[in-house]
Amino acid sequence: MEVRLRGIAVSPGIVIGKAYVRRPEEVVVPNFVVDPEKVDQEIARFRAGLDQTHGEILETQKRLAEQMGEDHAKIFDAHLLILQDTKAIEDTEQLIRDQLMCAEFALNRVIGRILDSFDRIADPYLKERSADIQDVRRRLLRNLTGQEVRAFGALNQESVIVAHDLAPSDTAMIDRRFVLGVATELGGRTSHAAILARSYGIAAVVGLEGLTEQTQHGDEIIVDGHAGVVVLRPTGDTLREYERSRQHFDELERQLLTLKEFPAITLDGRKIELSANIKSPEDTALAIAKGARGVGLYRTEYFFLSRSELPSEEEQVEAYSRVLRDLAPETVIFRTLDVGGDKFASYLGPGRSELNPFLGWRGIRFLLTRHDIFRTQLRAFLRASTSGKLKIMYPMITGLEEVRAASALLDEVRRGLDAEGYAYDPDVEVGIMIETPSAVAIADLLARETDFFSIGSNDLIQYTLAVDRGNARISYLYEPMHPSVLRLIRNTVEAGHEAGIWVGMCGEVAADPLYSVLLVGLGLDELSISAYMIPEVKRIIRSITFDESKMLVRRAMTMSTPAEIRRYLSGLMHERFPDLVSGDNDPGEPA
Amino acid sequence: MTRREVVVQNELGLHLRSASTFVRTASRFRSQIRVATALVPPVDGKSILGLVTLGAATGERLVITADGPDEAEAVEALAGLVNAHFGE
Repeated sequence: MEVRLRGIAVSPGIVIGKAYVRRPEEVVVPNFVVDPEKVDQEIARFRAGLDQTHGEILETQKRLAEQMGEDHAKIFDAHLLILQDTKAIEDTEQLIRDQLMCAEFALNRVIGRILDSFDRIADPYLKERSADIQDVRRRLLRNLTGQEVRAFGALNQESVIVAHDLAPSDTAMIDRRFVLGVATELGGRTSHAAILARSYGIAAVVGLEGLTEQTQHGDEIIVDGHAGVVVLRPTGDTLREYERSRQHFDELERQLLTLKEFPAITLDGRKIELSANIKSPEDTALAIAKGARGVGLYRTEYFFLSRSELPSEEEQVEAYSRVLRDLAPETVIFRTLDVGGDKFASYLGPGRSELNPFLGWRGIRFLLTRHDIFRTQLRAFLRASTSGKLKIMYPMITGLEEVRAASALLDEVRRGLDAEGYAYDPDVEVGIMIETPSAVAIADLLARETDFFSIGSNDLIQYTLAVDRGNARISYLYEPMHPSVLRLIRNTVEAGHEAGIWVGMCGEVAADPLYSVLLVGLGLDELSISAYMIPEVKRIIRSITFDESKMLVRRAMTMSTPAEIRRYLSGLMHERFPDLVSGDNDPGEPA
Repeated sequence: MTRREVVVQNELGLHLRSASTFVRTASRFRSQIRVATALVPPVDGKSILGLVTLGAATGERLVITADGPDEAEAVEALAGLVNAHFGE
């Protein structure tokens, strides 16, 4: 029977294929009495199992380190220690010797007791660590019993992966040639499943309740990575319907990619810099493949967040140079470390303990109190600047003093580099993010002392409408089409242009096809968006005139509510681009 | 026997990675090492499985005791490690 499940779309695309189901494996634990004469043999068998598992974990660790970086592989250090735990080994051997339990049963008893004691742990993060112990137990039991590794080793034909969740050890096992799409029960946008799917460029939906229970190995399955829907055992009608949308999507994708070499320019010649947002050197390939004009936002903080200690100046120089070289001669805008808010690393200052982290120690406020970290990053930026075209951008600016303090430090760094004899690009442009209402209000003052503005739409909307997106009760208030937001954007662009500097936007809404028309009409010079969305937004820009988009904005600016503006826009867009906007959000529904 | 009380200060508490660091340090010493919290009786300080079952979150008190030829150095090193956020 056909079943439809709704989850979270984390990687776009539509795929129809056979399910490869990975259930949370429970290995059958044998229970036999050991012949008293053969106790030593049983203990030797147990130790051989430990050795084999040790080798296996080392192997997994190595493979994962190559595929996803050393940091992802670190957790296996702890797995190795679990395996070497003297206390657990002694207890197990004692049960074998004194009670003549077989190795598997004895081990299971010992680990079982340890897992039981996790029940009294209150801290949810620490409690979850029992999953790692279970992971090691499963491996060990599997090796002792010689039961087949069913995980992903047997994945040998193109399939859609269906699982409760994907662990780091799973992603290391998967042969990417055979993965068509991914569907999981757990996970959000940053889960391993989501990261894997996006890096492979395949469709993925996560957060699907009851998925593995309802799916059998080999079932036909549709993953719709646009709508966040999974269909199990689709009927003929559903299949035909999805087959059509898949072809349609593929065709559109092909057409859009033919635009790759063309600039994002309106019919009447207004050119928009259409660039990509990236968070690591690995993302540059996709940006280039999708035809990005450089990078409008390099979120350097992910380099810091994905590790357990501060990256050194040399490590930073290397990573930054790589990005610049990959994208040369195009520009890359490096945003200085932006932590706090919802981005933390235990070794960096801001913690989750602040009452109002979004109003707290974040962005430039953090950097200006941690000169050591800030200075090192600025040095790395400048030293990398000879590898391509680099621009620097400060986040979370609310006042001019912050810009001046940062610039003073940058000057100091320049002098230091001069003294040490380092070469760097002397004309690096320095701009700021406009993401607080305060920055918009004094945009004219800020524009005099900066080289460019980039509007950070996510935060600007959140601060302007005083809405926490993550709070389900009020998230409907998060409305990019709110007249207040549109006015702030207009004011920023006017102030920037008045002072002769360019104004861009980096943020999710700039990738919304409907919204991008408004942004062109509002006079933005640059849009920096997810690489996936570049072809689509480019096509829209190339199909409109600057004049008509300006007219559209003038009209929208006379309207009083977001719903009114959205209705007006989507009506127009449906007429102009029926294929792009169909199946999108209903008009009037908050995006 | 040497005994010292410390407070867990790193953000995530005594989780798998910080416990790994603890075990690796403890294993350098010959003394027997035990760790307890206010609620949980002492566990072997060289056993990662023992340490993680303490469930010691940030802010919680740990009692580290060592018994043996190098007990003073062991307690010193381990208390220092906890105070230095396990190097995280």
